[in-house]
Amino acid sequence: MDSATLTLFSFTARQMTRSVKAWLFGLMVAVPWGVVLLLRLLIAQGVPVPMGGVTLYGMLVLGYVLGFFVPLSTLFFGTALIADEVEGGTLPYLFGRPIRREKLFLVRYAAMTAILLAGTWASVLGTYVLAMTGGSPAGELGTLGGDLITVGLAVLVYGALFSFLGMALKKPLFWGLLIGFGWENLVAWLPGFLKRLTLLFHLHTLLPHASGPQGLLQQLLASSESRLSALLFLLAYEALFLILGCLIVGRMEASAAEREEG
Amino acid sequence: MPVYEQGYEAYTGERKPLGRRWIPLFRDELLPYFKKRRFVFLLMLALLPWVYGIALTFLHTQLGDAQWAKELVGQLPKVDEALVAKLMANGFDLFLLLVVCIWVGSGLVARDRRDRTLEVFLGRGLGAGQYLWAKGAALGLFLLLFSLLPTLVLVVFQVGLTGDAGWIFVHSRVLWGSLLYTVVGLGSLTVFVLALSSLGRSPRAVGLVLVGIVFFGDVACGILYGITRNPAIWFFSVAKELEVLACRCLGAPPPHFISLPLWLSVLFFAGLAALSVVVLFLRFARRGVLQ
Repeated sequence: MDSATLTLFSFTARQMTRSVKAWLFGLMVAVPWGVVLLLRLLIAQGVPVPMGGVTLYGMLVLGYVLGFFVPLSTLFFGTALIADEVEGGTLPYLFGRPIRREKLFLVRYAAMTAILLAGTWASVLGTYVLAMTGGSPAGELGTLGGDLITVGLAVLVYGALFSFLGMALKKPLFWGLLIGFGWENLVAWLPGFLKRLTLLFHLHTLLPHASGPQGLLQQLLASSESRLSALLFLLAYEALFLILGCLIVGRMEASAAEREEG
Repeated sequence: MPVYEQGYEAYTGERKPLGRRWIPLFRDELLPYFKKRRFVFLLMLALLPWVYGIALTFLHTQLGDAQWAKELVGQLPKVDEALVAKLMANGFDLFLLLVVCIWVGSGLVARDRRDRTLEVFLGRGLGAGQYLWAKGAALGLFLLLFSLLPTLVLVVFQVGLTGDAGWIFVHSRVLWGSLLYTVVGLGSLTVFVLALSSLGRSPRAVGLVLVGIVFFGDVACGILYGITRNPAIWFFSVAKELEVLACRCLGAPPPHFISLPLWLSVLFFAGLAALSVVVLFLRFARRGVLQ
């Protein structure tokens, strides 16, 4: 890695971590820990609760981390990856660096992904440790590994999607919201082929909780797709969004004019 | 005009009364959206559930007296308070409501701050109150399309098709309940969005924070409800509070898992509005919004 790339990588990482957004991101990372601690507290107080630590862990990974945290945080940072520079009129300075535009986009994307991966994995790991305390943490290590891989893939693909949308559209937030929380959540649960056009369906297939249809959660996740094809779909989407992003960044005008927001 | 004649002279055009100076700002905030086809399409989508309500009215009144028709109509829900509550606060419309809040509301003040036009507006005899009123009224008008306006259209169709004006008196709660929901729920939401918009310079960042607050509240409350099974948890979810408020205002039963009392919903929205007003006051009275 040459020094220009390294500088850009660290600059982007600094930009992301030293902002109000980073504080909000940090808070969202810690939410599942708080929920698990609350459950522990309720159990310790003798309050009857409808689920145990393992079930809660699965629900949090499925409902909170994959269904909310990853889409929102990638939408938050992905759409801002280049759009912030456009809005602030500093894009010419970014493009003036001695580095190809495609590489610039990919390095910034890599820096964003690294930060988000660190936060998301910390969230899942912390939740796992807190939820399994007192039980047999080693017994579910396979599940944890599968969750970490799936969540990591989710960050990569959603990050690529929203980074691409952030450059391609005038109103990336609006479309990102419609796609991330409308289309993804609506279509991923529908029967038929259409759900293969969502990321969430393939991510659900990869989640290890879906391996044997036993409880409600497992039945919800019961999928008609093999894990290999889910993985291939996700990798294809990742490549597609990154290629499209590279194509767009190569054609962007580096004017200091601000674009329409949204 | 020769160059030597150019200079300052008394303005001879029409002078708007002081109280109406907000109108051009309101108009400029409102009209561009009606020229955007995608935005108009979005508003049309929001009216789809109400088309269902009008279709129900039509079927109940116009289908005839044949036995099959009576059996069919008997299975359909009637147009009453419960149906209006469902039409007003269903998940589909609440999602679109949020989208409109982001599209229109996130840039209300933030865009003027970013473009440095806020100084111009506030420096030309337009008070902060008038400025905020113009901005809030623009968003509020769009939000009316999700509540009071379609209700009125539904009532007109109901009375027009049945020819029974007494329906209004029997179901008067449809009207005053919708009005209460609009004033308390959507009014508070408008002030909240306005306050949020005054805190940032980037409309996109304001929109993201709004998305975060609304969706995060919903998801966090859902998880906590899963653990505790306590309906009071939903107090902190804006979307669910709107749903409960609509049901309570119209006297319809809310979903069993979020059966919060009316006073709690009113308290939530009053608190939200009060907090927003305080933020707006601090931002505008101390001119912090200009920095």
